[in-house]
Amino acid sequence: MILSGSRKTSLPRGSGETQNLELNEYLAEGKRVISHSREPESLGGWKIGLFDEASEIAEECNDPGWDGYEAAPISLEALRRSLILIHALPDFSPLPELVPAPEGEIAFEWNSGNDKTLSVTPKADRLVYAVYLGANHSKCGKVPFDESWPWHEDIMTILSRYFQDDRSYLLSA
Amino acid sequence: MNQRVKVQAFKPTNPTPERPERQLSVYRTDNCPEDEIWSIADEYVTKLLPNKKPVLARGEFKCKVVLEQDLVVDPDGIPHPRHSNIVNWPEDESLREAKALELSIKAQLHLREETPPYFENF
Repeated sequence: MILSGSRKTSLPRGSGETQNLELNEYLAEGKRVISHSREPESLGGWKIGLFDEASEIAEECNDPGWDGYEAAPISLEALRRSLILIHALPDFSPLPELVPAPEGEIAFEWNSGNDKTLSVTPKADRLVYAVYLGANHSKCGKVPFDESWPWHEDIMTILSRYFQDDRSYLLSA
Repeated sequence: MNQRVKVQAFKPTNPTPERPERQLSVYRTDNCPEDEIWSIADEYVTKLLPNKKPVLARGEFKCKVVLEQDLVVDPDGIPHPRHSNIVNWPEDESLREAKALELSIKAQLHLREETPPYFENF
């Protein structure tokens, strides 16, 4: 169950239909918590739309070769990872675009108006990222993915420093 | 929505026993009329998709952009004479993410002007 106001998130684990049912319950609970505690949309209600979008992507891309080539299907576990990450996005985070990845994951992408781009692809135990900040200024790497603290500080630092309108906003640990 | 081709569209395929080398499938568009480009997309991309959704956009980039990323263009001509594969992708996944991002930055988005009829049967 999601603890409102807490960074800890947990999903019941199961397999097959049980996991599918638990994910649907998680989606419903997540939306209820978010809509109840974080209205209006400017304060976090936008996450509901991302929850729905992630679910749609997983449903559309659950066949092998969904891209016409060798793309891996997006599993329930991959959807679950994306939901955890969506829920853990700070309220000040700019709206990411969710994109199916050929590795069978749901990737997050941020673009600023001046060609800066940040791409994050979750994996089972890590986040793979690449960021373009301008000519001769780019970076890539991988950081651990921990469900109890989903967004690694390296990525949050990039997001807050380069993809926010107000760069004076300080991240809270 | 940001009008840019997504980074994920430039990632190579996952290796398989039949095709162990990671590759990104592309088609040359130089001196190719616009309607023929979309025709190639309908015939050789849409028909491969399980849901058969029509291609509504494409990203174009110069060959030199590929070479600048230390990638290689392999013009195999299969299944169409204009087909090539971009190969020589690194094993490191974060480097692959970075190269895909660089390609997406340099690519120009082209939207299809007319949505084609939904393909149902072949």
